[in-house]
Amino acid sequence: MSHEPDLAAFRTELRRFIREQLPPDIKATVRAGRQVSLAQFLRWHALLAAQGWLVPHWPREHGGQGWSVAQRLVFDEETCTADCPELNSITFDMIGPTLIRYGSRAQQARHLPPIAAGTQWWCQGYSEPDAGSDLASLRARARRQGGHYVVTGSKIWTSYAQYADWMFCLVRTDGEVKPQEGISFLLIDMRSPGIAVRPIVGIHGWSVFNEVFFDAVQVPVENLVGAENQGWSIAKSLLEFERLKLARIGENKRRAARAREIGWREIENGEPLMRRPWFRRRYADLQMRLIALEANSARFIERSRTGQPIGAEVSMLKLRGSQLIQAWEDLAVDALGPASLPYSGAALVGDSDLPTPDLAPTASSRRFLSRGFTIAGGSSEIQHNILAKQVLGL
Amino acid sequence: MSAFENDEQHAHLVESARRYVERGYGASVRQSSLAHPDGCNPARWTELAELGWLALPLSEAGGGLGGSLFEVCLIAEELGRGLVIEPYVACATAGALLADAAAPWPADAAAEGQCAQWLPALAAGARRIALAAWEPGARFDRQPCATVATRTDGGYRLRGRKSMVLGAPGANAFIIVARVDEPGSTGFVRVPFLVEANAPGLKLTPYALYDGRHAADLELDDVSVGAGMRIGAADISARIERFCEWSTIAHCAETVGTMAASFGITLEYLKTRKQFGRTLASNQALQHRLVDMYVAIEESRAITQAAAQADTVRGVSPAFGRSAAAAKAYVSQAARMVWKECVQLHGAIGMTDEYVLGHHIRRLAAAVTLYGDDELHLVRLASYEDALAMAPTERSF
Ligand SMILES: Cc1cc2nc3c(=O)[nH]c(=O)nc-3n(C[C@H](O)[C@H](O)[C@H](O)COP(=O)(O)OP(=O)(O)OC[C@H]3O[C@@H](n4cnc5c(N)ncnc54)[C@H](O)[C@@H]3O)c2cc1C
Repeated sequence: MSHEPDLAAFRTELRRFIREQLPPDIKATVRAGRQVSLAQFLRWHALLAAQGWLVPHWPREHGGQGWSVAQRLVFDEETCTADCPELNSITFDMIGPTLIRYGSRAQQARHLPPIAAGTQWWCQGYSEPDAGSDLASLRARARRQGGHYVVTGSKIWTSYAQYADWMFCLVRTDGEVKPQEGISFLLIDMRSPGIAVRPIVGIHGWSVFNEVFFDAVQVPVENLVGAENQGWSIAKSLLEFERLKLARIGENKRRAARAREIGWREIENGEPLMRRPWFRRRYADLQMRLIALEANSARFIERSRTGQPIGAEVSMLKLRGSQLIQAWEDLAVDALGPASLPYSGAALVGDSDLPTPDLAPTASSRRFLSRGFTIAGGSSEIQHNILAKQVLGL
Repeated sequence: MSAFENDEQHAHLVESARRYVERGYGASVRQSSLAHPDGCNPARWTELAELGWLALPLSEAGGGLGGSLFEVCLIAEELGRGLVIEPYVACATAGALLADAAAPWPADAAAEGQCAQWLPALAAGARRIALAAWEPGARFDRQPCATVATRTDGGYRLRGRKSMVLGAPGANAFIIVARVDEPGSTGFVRVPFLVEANAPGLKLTPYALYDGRHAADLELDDVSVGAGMRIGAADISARIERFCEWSTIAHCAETVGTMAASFGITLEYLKTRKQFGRTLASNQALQHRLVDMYVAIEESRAITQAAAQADTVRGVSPAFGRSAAAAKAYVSQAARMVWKECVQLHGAIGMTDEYVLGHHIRRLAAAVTLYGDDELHLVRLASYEDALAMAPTERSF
């Protein structure tokens, strides 16, 4: 690891930064498990951007720091365990790097600076009601008319479309060829006439998802990324950017810390749960799984550092990381027991001003929310299929 | 003993419950119950009474139909299938406890009057009572009882707290389990008291649960009750235990109904939803998971009904307690598995509130915790096993 910066020193610097800069209201909101508002996100983005830490994994010429994957993962881990909001990976890890790789100079000049400054929020318009796992069957149409594409159709499950300024969207530009060959990658201004966003309330009580309708929306042709009908390969390589992050070590550690806190706070038979055999065993079991995940993920990080291909087997990180997040959320709910049952919509949103918030009111909702990790971004079943076919050759 | 003597009559009971839920408890009706501040629409409660289901679990001596726990479970499963919000299980089993205690109970004329007044009103749905047996911090363990009843001139003074009392909002009275220092007995005995909802010193903190049901925490700050409101005879502690098992097992039956409904929705969805040019259900990997769910639900029903049939008239025999603990542990595990699988197999739509499955999911997730999860009941089961090992012949608990 000779070329790595001193990660321990970096960790110390990071901790100090968070201690001094993370606004208390944002910290409290995240700790309480409530939904972070757009205004809170934007304030946090500005603080990170001022430090140069909002998009540190981007190349320097585009406003990044050229951090290694390992350094980036330390950053994730420290920010997660110190109650910083989870940064929107669709904006910072997906569209930013995609534009760096495939965008025109004009697209880069227009979008990369506001993304790097944290002022432009993106959403991902891929899924449709009939195109989920089978994404290539998508139907939203884009017809070329002079200097515009005219987009008609709908997208669904679009996370945070209500916060978004822009959407990157897969649209069908050719219906006559193989499904994968007629798809294009478009950048769409969410304020364009003809777009309607319908929030979808989840079983957790939040509206994170949305349905987005396009009624003859005009999109200038200069918003096409890459060539027409080349959208599929751009979308596929875009998914690769995220692969190493998908072990979600930081997000797992965030939840481990929460479970530990509940374990010390909740009393059963006169002792903290942390002293009760059932809880100890389950907690240790999850820590064991986390240690395994981290060790496994380290092998892939090393491969990437030394320039080896990471291969389809990296799917195992997404598979395990997402399952483990859910297991932590389950443990939190089971540990709280009856205290996890009362529900109040008001407890899910708005700033929390308690320094040590009660974790119970959002625990069941967070647990429901976590079910999405094994569905989105290639479901667990699809990861199994990838491992079976591409790795085991079945 | 049983109001319904044979399978045919049981089938009839199930049929009428299913019909009620299908015809009388559609989405808009359910919505109005969800929106009701008590989580119990009085019009629906009256309907349950008219169908005879509130009288069903009340003993014949108490003026009811003397139905068995098994029969209560048949109704509960259908109500669970239809996601009925009204607290049938919680309130009907509280009534059953009151009625069971009724025969030897009224020690004086005043109490007899109370009894004669309450039971017909419960059967008619004109009044509703809830069982407050669980305390804060005890995670549905029934043993801890910090609520104390101190003797006064004309009766008792109650002090303490009860938590997660299902069906409490809007109830007219509660059966409060409190400890009493009985002269002559070593230690305290657990005794139920009937306490009216408007009793001075009784504070109710109502809340909704994430599955749409309602419950409340109760605080008793020197609540005075007449001697006649102390319910029951010498073996009352065992009777309390028995009706705690009733509510737990009937809750399992209700959960089986909700599991079956979720499974049905998921099976249908997978048979119709197409990805990659074929139905999801044509993937063998998914077929096997549907089969595992199906088997878990069948076993859940079997273990629940077996537990209901192990009910003994007086107290809780080791065999009954053991099968009750096993049933709730099993059903908790099955419900947890089923709700997660139903969400996963649906994909994103399974996470939405607007799709019908969402309500089932929340109900199943809460059902795992209510009345104690598998951790609690496995520990109970293990202690029954300990006792069996120590004494091969039956002993009392
Ligand atoms: C929290 C969350 C956030 C999301 N955010 C976005 C977003 O911002 N933008 C966006 O475009 N989309 C988003 N999605 C949608 C996501 O991409 C889809 O949910 C995903 O592609 C699965 O599609 P589906 O939900 O239609 O499920 P389906 O594809 O219908 O699958 C249903 C079930 O069948 C399984 N299955 C499917 N095919 C097979 C097979 N061949 N073999 C075995 N099992 C199979 C699936 O794994 C799943 O369990 C989000 C989803 C979630 C849950």
